[in-house]
Amino acid sequence: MIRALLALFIVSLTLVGDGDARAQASTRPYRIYAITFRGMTDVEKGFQDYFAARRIPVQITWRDLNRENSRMSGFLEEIKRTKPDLVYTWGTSVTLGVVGTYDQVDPAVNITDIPVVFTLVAAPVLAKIVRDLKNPGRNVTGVFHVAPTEAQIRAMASYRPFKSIGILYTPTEQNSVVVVEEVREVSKRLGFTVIAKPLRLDANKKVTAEGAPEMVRELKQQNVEWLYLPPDSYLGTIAQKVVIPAAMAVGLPAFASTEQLMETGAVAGLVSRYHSIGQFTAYKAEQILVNKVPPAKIPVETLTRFALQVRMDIAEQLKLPPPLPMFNYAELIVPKPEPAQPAAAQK
Amino acid sequence: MLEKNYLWRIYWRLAGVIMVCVVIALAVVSFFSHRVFDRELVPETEQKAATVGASVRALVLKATSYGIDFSQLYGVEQTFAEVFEENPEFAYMAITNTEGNVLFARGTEPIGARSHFRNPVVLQIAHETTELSKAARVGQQYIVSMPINDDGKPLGVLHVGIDAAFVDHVLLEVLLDVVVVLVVSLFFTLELLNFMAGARLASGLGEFARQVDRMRSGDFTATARIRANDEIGRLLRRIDSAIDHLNVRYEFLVGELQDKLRTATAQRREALKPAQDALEGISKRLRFGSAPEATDGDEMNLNRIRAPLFAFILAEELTRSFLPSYVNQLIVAIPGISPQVVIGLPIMLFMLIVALGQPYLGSWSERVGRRKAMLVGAIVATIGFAGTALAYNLYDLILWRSLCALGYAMVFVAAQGYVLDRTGHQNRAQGFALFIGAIMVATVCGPSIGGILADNIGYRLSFGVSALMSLFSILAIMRLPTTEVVLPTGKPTRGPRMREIMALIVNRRFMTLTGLAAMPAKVILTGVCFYLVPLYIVSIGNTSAMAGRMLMVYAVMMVLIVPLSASLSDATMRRDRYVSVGLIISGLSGLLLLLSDSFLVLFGVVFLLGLGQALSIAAQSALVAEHCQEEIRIYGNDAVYGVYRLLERLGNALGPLIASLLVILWGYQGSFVALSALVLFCGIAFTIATHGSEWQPAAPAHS
Repeated sequence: MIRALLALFIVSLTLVGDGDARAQASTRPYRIYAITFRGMTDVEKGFQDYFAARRIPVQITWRDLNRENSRMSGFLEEIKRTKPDLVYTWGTSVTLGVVGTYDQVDPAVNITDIPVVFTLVAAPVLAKIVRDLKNPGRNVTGVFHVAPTEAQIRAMASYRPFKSIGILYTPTEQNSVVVVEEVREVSKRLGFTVIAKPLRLDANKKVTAEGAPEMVRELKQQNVEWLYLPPDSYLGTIAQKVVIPAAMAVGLPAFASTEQLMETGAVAGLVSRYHSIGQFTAYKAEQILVNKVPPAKIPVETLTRFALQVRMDIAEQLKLPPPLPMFNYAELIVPKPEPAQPAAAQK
Repeated sequence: MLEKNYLWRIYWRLAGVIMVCVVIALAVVSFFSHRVFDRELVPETEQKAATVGASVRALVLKATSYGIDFSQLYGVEQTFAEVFEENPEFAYMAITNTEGNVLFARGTEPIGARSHFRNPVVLQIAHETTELSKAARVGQQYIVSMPINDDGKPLGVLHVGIDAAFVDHVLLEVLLDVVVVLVVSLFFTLELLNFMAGARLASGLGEFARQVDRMRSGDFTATARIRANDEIGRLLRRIDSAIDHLNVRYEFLVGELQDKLRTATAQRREALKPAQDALEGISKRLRFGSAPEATDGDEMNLNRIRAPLFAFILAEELTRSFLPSYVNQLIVAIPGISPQVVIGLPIMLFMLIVALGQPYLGSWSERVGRRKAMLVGAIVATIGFAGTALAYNLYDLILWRSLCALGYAMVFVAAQGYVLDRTGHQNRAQGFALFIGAIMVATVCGPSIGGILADNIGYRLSFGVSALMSLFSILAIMRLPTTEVVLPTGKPTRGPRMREIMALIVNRRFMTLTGLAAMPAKVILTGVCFYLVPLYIVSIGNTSAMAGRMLMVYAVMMVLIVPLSASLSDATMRRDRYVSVGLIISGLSGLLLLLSDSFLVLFGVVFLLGLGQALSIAAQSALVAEHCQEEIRIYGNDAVYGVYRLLERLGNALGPLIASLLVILWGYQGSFVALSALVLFCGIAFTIATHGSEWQPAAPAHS
């Protein structure tokens, strides 16, 4: 069926190294105002590491939305008051809160006069952050992090071939809806079936985790061989507590599209490494701050190489060890509390 | 009674003995080298299996180190498949547990594998902690087994099966190469023998036979020849001194009788009458005195053309089996022309230059002298070969190949002229046999050796070898006699005139022969042998050496069948039947590819093609004289043959073009089939056109 063609997915970001001579001579460091969605991640570490490696002096003010949109207005007011050189936004929600969609910008609320660099937005065009990836056209640029859908499907098939996959997604998240469509397109070409189930909405048309475990069980009964986790913000918040346990209970392996979903307990995923994403985001910021390129002219891009990650503990629980050739190229993750046990086979 | 044939028999017997010695020596060397290869190849492959196996084992141990149970490994067969993809010599891989039960396997399991895996000796391997591997022959495979041992804990055994058929195939390849080398050495030896001893021996024996013939016919005139300092020369010198002695005694006898007659009386004179009559009788029957100074050495000089011609033609023939592949490497996209046609372009151009150049180069070589013409030609070609070897891309390659073509045409025509100049009516056929012989031997040796060279040292260096060969021919040409023989009767040869070409091209009888027989025969020859075979063979994953072997089959057929068919067609049946049969056999050759696309079938194709061509080739040109008498009477022999050769050679140039166009339409196999079908059609049409009727020359359409 599907013969996966996976080269090396080890991220190698060689942007660092084309001369660090641009170290700023001026004594005043660049002031960056950074807003995260759920605290500090590896992305922020990569972001800071890049500046350190390039010896670009930056002074970053960290703010965390902590998944509460109500905090946004306070941050916006602070930005307008302190006038930083650059604003850094993590994820679709934060980015939209800061810059608004391109067709509904309110200069009274949104930031328009300060360059904004976003990161970890799965689908910047669909989220209406920019009209065109190559040519953002507004004072915003950034980095997205999802591998091409077909590459993800092929990676899944190289782990275990399948005839049918199931997807859970948030119907109100446009980017999820589009990824589901893309998976359907790929399925026609490669020949497999897709069973996609939208999460339920409550009375207020707000998405809810209610019924998600049942949906996972239904998918298993419909003989899907994989549960694909699209780059879906809400799904990301319920995966670890609701979706993955239900899938593990019925022995359904999950495949992650982002490193965040990977951490919730998917057995495998084709993802961008957060650290590399952070470095790449910092590179975009450098273009604006040091090279004085207007963000409107800096293309929105992603990395060209992705990591195929495998959670060995999950693989063992599911009794689905990765195929032997994958040991050559996959990034095998063994959770910290339980380091690799070479003698495990003895039991 | 001493006959010339007897001496030739001795020469051939001698040559035969030498050849047998050479063959035996080569066979022994081949046998032993083959055995050494056989002995070395299997351990080499086993070593490779052990290396590849070790990397698979490392992967397995890495997986188990992550806690995956040895028997629960997943995707092991997939790993095996990837190994097979990179190493076609491995036919089977398996992992067994410590009991010898197969856990994972892929490929063809040899008979007896299961019991082999349970053999205690094999099971013991699992307990080894060193980098050990053991090989054994199981069924049709050599199984290399190595331990999978996790730091002292035996997990199982990894087995890699080497396909014995693959090893046999490699050995067969080597054997075929050895056979090629054998055949080529044989021809080379013959050629060298002829060059070094044969020509000398033949001329010595010929001289001896002539001397004996002269004496038998009563000619005892003393010759003032310089005899060679060899056995035959010494023998001849003794005969010479005996003849001198006889002459002296004859002179003495004549003098004495005349003395006596002068002083004798009438009676006495009467008494001497019988003696005088006897002496007159002797002088009528036998001749004494000194012979006129004979022109000598033509036969010897004729033979000297053979070495340079052979070396030169060999230089070109070396390239036959790999030239298209080389062109393919240097190809430059030419807008509007398909790459298939572009590959054929240099071959086409080569043939075209030779075809158009020959008539004019003939009279040129006459003017400047054959030796000088050959020298110029060989130098031009050497530059051409060297340039080809260093070619940057298609465009300069075409220039270099054109130089080769020009040089080839020059040398060919001048060598032909050299033979013509030195032969009369009675020995012309013999002279041309020598000329054709040198070329045929080169066509047998060239492509096969060239193919082996190309596979081992690459295309460019192989062209370098051609340049070197061509350089050798220059040295050999320089040793040719500088004095040119000018035929007193010969009027300067000339190229055919346009008027004659036009008149003959619309002549039905002439064109039946040329258009339906001669040209199609050449089209299929160059189309198949020079274009399709080298490209197709490589396209199906075979080597240039294989293409060379194919072309050798063709050449060997020519060498074996042409003399036979030439004498038979004279003796047994009408020549046009030979042409018909030959064309139809050639036409059937490519149709074989409808049966299968294996390269073995291709051998059949080349075999049939060679057979067909060999049957018709001698009869074809003889037919021109036979059936176009009227035209020859009007336009002259030279003009008719000139146009015939020109058109025939244009057929040479058309071959690659037609073949490449057919490849675009129907691919390689389709092209073989279509080209053959075309020739088959021409053969049938020719048969119908010449059927029944005596094919009497009718009044020509034009005068």
